[in-house]
Amino acid sequence: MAEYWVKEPELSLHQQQWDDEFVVYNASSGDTHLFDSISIKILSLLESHSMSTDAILSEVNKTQSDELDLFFISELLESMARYGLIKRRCDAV
Amino acid sequence: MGLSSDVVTLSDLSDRQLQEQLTTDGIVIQTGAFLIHLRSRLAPIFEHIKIFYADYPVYNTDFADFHVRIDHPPGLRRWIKSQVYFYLDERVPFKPLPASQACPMLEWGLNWCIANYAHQYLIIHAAALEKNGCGVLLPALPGSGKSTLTAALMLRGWRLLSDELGIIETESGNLMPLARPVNLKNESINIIRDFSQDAMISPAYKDTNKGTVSLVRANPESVEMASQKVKQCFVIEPKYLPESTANLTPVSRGNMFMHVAENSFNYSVLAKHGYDVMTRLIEGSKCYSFVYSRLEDAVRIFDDLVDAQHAR
Repeated sequence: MAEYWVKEPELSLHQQQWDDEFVVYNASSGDTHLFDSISIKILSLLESHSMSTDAILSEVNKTQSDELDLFFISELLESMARYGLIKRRCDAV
Repeated sequence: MGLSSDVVTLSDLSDRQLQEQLTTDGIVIQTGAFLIHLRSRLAPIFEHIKIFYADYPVYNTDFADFHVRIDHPPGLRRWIKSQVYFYLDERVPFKPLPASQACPMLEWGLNWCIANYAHQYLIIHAAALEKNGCGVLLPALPGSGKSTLTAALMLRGWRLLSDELGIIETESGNLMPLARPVNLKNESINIIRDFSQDAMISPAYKDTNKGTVSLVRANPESVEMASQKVKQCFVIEPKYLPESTANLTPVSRGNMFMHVAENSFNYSVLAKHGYDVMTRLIEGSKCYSFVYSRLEDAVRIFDDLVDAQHAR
């Protein structure tokens, strides 16, 4: 089974950036989140196609001065899923 | 409603006129952006508004934003362990309180009305003041010393907008005044009494669910300017910390946005509109946390802050 992440369909997100902080309003849920640039990067990556955790980690680390590890990205993806922003999809290989 | 067209403020009414109006058709008092139609047969309410609302405009009109009444319930609880009810449009929105707490109940009830119904504004659990054209919003958790600081600033020449409700006009982002009495609790009452001889402080109302409470009358200058909105300049989270050195620390706008939204009564109710208003509010403000122990130091730092802003 291959595991991928996708952005929740029909999300309506609005964001405001101040320095390296992003206040994101999810009009679909009414929730407001304070994100850093990593979470915003993930949302951007998943905007048009699904990606595996490893692929997301690789892309994110291209813009990081200190390399992030798999555990960190996995935890972050799980929290974004709890917020209803992304979801896990499993496809048969 | 029987009021003369010459009446401008509540103090223009004789005691007899005020008593008659209060106990029959009611009296319409303007507090900032809101008209309150108030009725009560309770002597403490009469005494309270005679002193604490003396400077407020009154109107001869059938229209009001809130129609409220404070009275004893029917039946034995009028006499035995006497209670009072707060009525909004003749419905009872919350439990009665002991009759001795009628006056703070009026203040809390009016705050409740605004926080629950005035969704034409974004409403924050915060104090709001103004000096030199700069509005300062003080969002804070209970027990942070917000009201004590608010009373002190008012008594040192700041204009009081509100000690409890930061009311944001959604179109402009301006702060809307209320200029109603400041609520003090427990030790704060004597602190403010010692801080200023000019403070007009009500009797202590004991055994409330907030402890012992007293009300500080809004200064006449604040009431006189209660129709004048204020441009928001600063958002400052105060925190009283014994024996600390007064200190302003910058807070990121992102973090302050979240703090203020969490302290809002109706940010979620306003949905995307609330998000947009909050974004403009924070974008236009400098944001700080503030720790203090001595009120004189706090006043000095706040004065310096708006003076510097005004000089720009």
